[in-house]
Amino acid sequence: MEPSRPTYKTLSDEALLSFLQKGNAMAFDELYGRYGQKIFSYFFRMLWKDKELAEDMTQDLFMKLIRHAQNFSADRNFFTWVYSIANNMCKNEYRKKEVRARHHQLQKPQLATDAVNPDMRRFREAVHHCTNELAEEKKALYILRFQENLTVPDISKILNIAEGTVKSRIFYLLKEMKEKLKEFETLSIYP
Amino acid sequence: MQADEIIQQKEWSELNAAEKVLLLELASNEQEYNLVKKMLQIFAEEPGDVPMIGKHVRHELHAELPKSEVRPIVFYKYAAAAAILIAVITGVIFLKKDKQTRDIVKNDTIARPVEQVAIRQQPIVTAIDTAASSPKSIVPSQQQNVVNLVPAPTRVIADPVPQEPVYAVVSTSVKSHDELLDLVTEIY
Repeated sequence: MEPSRPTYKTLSDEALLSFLQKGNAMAFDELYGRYGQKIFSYFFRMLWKDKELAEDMTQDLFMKLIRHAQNFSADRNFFTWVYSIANNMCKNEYRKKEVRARHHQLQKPQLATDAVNPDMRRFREAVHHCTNELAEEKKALYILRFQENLTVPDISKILNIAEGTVKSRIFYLLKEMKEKLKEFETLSIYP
Repeated sequence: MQADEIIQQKEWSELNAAEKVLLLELASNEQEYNLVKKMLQIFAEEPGDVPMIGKHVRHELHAELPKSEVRPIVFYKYAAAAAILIAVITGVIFLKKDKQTRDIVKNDTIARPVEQVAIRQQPIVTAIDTAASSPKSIVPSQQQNVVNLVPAPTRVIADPVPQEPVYAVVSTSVKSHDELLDLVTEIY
């Protein structure tokens, strides 16, 4: 039996996916509402803040969901499954060296115009520059941990690495960035 | 608690000895600790830079959805109504037929006068038979019958079965009225 529109909001992601397999548009709308913008944000940050590319990738990912929904294993978590697909798609995009080079050239430094303190503005720009320069794996970890605020177990499932490895990588990522921003230690960056 | 969680939630002065040991490699003094803390704050502010996804993405994905297998409820309503109608008509026809069948059986079980079924008991020699056969072969007793039967109607003349005509038409095994009655009762 088909649930009514408000009922879809109460359904789990996995239940919605089973309706999506049958071509249910309302189940799709609900899943898209939950994950569309999140996945787009992930692609946008991972793929050099290219909106058009991020939209194309988001569309591709949802197409995969529609066409291969039956491949979803019931013992997995839908949320981590979707992010792991997104992460693999980003890896493929990073492998296209020419694309990476083109974006690297086009990338402009982030302007922190809202910062009142000039030192603070410089610090922000330096942080953005550091994050943009991160290698693909570190960038994924940075986004998942510090922007998506995911837990270590979830990141472990998405990146398909052990939880202990995730913890140590987070630690060393912070250490690496702190080293790069060491010059700001003594500046009056605290408003 | 993870290193980054400790830094986000606590000030340097709030750290215990174990936490300071854990963070030693990352922030060995208050200055470094505050730098990492500020860095984490800026990390958290960055999601605001992300634009909204274009609405065309959703529309294009809708077009890719497989056709829904859900059939309209109206279809089921019509199918159910048709099924009920067919069932009612079939039922009425069956009941009518059943009633007719029972009437026939009842009538046949009532004994009727033999005269109504068996029209002729006596062998009849028709005019054709008479003409075809030699007058010499007819015995005097039969000759009288021939005279009587000359003005008989055509139907009787054309009857091909002179011996027990009605029973033979129904079944060759039926020889009498009782057997005929049994047969009809058995059939119905």
